[in-house]
Amino acid sequence: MKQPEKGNALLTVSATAFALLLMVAFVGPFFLVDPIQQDLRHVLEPPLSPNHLLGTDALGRDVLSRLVSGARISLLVALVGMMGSILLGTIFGFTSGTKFKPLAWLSDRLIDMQMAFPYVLLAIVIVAAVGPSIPVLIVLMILAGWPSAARVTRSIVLGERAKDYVRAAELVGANQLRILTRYIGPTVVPAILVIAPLQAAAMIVMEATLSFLGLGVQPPTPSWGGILLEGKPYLRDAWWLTTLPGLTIALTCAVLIGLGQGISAKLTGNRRRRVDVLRDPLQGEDSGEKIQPSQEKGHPGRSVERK
Amino acid sequence: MRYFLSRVGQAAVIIFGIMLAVFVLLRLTAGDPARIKGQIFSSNEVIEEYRRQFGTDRGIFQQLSTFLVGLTQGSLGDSFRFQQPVTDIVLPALQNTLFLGLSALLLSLVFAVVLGTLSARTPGGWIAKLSTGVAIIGQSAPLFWVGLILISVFSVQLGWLPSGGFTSWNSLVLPSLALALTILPAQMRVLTASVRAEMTEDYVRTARAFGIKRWRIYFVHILRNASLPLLTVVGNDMGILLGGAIVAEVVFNFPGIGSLALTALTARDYPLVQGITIVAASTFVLVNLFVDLAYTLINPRVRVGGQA
Amino acid sequence: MNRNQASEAISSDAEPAGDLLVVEGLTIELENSPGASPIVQDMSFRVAAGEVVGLVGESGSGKSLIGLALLNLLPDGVIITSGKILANGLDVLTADEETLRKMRGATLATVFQDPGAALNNTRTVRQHLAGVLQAHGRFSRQEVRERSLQALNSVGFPNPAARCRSYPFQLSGGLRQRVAIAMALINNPKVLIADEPTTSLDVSVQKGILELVRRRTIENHLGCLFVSHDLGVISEVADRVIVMYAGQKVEEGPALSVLTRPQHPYTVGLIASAPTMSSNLANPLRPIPGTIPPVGEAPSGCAFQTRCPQLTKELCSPLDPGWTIDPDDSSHRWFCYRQPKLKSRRKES
Repeated sequence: MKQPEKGNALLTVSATAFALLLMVAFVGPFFLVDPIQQDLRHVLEPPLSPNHLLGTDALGRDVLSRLVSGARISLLVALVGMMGSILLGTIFGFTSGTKFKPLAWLSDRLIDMQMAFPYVLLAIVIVAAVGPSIPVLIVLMILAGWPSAARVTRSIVLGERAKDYVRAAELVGANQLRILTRYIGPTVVPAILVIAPLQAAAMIVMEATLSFLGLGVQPPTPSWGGILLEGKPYLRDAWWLTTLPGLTIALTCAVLIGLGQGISAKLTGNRRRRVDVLRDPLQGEDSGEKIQPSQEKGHPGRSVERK
Repeated sequence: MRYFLSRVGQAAVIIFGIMLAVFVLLRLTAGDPARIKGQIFSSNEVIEEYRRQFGTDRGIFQQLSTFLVGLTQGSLGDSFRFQQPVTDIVLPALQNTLFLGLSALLLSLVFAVVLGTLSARTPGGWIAKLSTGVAIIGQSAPLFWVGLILISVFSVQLGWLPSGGFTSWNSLVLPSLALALTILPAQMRVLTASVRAEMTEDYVRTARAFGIKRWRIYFVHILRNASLPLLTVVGNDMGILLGGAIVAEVVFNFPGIGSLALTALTARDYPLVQGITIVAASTFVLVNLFVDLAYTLINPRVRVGGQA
Repeated sequence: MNRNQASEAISSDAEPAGDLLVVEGLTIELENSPGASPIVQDMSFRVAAGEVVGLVGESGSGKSLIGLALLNLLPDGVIITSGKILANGLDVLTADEETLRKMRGATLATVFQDPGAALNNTRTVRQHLAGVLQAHGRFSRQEVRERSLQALNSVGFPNPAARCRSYPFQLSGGLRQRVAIAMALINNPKVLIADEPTTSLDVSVQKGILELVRRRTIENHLGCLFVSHDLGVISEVADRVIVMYAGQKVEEGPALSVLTRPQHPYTVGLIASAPTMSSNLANPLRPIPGTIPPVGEAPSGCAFQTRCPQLTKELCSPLDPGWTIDPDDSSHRWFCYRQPKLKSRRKES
């Protein structure tokens, strides 16, 4: 069957792409033109100009270098945000799954309340209060992202908790903490591995959005969102100032999403379910064994006469 | 009925809590608006005068109570920047934002239903692939970028649609499209999955065994049951739409509460920021309440309270 | 097939009066498995008006697929490769989709095994009945209401006027099944297929449902095909019995004959293995040794050859017996070389 193979291909491709991206982001700046260097003689040059593969911006700065150094910040912030939100989310997810009712209840309320609350609104208020900065940005992103990780963890914990092996452990006297970590934990880990890249993608978009609105990374520190913000006034004349950063963001997200799906396919592809054509619909259960189009001829003299 | 009242009560409590939190947060941490309004070299008297005007010369509790009293009279304070009651500024903007949000939602739902069901019926077909593609774009491409691209293509290059403002119904097209793209992937996914799951259910086979017409089976049975998970997703979407609307408004210069909020922010106009936040958050809570109640109406199990 | 052709088909194939369901040489196979044995092999039977024909077989015998085949609603990957099915004279296998649709639920009705799954939990009982009615004709609201109440009454559904607004999840299993039967009967079908309708119900409820099915069959002059693996159920409800094994018919005849004087070794084993009130350690259950061959791997000829305790080289060659008919009752026959045990119980050599 093709499925597991396809999952692996996706996984390899996206993992490689992501690794490349990271390498470029962190090592790239050493090889490229200084991103802060302004060159007012070569302002707003389109891509494929000499010396400037992706063109220059309004201050003559090389777009490619800016994108690469912006990648550093954007990726760093996104990864930290992702890890923080997953950490926080997993903790809350487990808390919601404990038997200690008040704690679980509180945890549930927090998760549900925060879910889907627009982070932009939250950002506006908080930035109005304490001013924009990178730490604030990271905190914001963690606050925005933890509920989805929490929900995933919670549903797994609750689902597993109802299963017999957990009940058995409880009967034998294992305490809650042990159950959560040793028994249910291993089921949570694969799920986390799958959502981590997706969460990272969301974080990248979040950072870009907030920086675009002026609430995130502040200039002159380059970030993808910031570059887009600077490019916005030149939408008509210098399309590359907005299209290219956006494309970078979109591609990075696509790679991350692909990574997530690849991991997911790899993890579930191990439990292959053979197509059970003859699932007896009226019995509601399998009728006899599953079908294996068998090549063996079995009993002598067997032939099927088709009329 | 009791459920209804308790949910309404919960909502009220939440709104009140948000109000308090925002108020306190801003008053305690924000810079002195009087200093901002007044020039650097203004004398203390001038500053004090401003303070009295803004009401920031009194203690926090007094400010809070003034605010709450004003609230009962339907006032959210006055904007520093615009020298007008906050409510006069915020409500028209809110209306615009609601228009935008609603049209984005409708657009998205239509696409989701059409693409989702067609994908469910032909799982490997070109429609399914197209839908997946759209979903990936919707998830990866940041809203503001999509918006910028749309402006670039349809407004600048092709000149078909206006690039900003709210001059006519045409102005809604591009922003709604961009916004719709953010919520479309989740809706499509849920719909395709539910429809596919429903298609294999026993009652569908029973319906066919009774000779019920296929399109009827589809609309009455399958879609109905598939709409429940969809509604849950839509509930989530409300928050995303609200946040997205803010961004979209900035990109498209659309006069809604989003662009208003940013203006207020840069102007350090705290009553306005506060008013907008309270109004926006309350809208969010109310819309969620509405969706919850709608869910109970549609799902007879919850309504009638039978064994699930 | 257009209208004229359809009526021609009906008149030219008109069977001897009274046979509402005619199945001849029905063979059902897996679509993409060359070399595999058929799931159902060369199945033929008839059901006359007013009679209940019981189809007995264990899981894997293929009996359940027959019900679906009669409606031409087989799942993907399973196809009918030969045979003829006539329901009230209409050729099911060559009819076009619209004719089939009109037939289903109106001429040929089915009651499935699990009413909880078969009913839609977001629709009320009323809506279910109305749906079935309106799929086959235009009725005013008044008519719909009347006929629905009538149908519910005829199946013994208590207090229909009030309870027809209930949702399936609010009803017990027995009530749900009665609703399902009402839905099947509301359009006055000619043929009723009951596919394990009592399997998911409590024994105490079963009896009521079985009586209901029998009564309706007789009073409405229906032809009823009752599929089940439960001999006790079959003995209560069937006039004639057909025993299936691994896709083949192995014995058929009047219920009394087949159940009290079974001749085919499989039937004998089946009846002997049924628990009775006197089963205990001294009188243990006697299962048939071995298991039914997996689908697609049944041997040709006598399918029971791999497990038959009475298999002998001398008698059973070639392994393709043909039908033996009971000299006392020509409608009772079995697919085996074994001669009938005479009533005088003389030990057969």
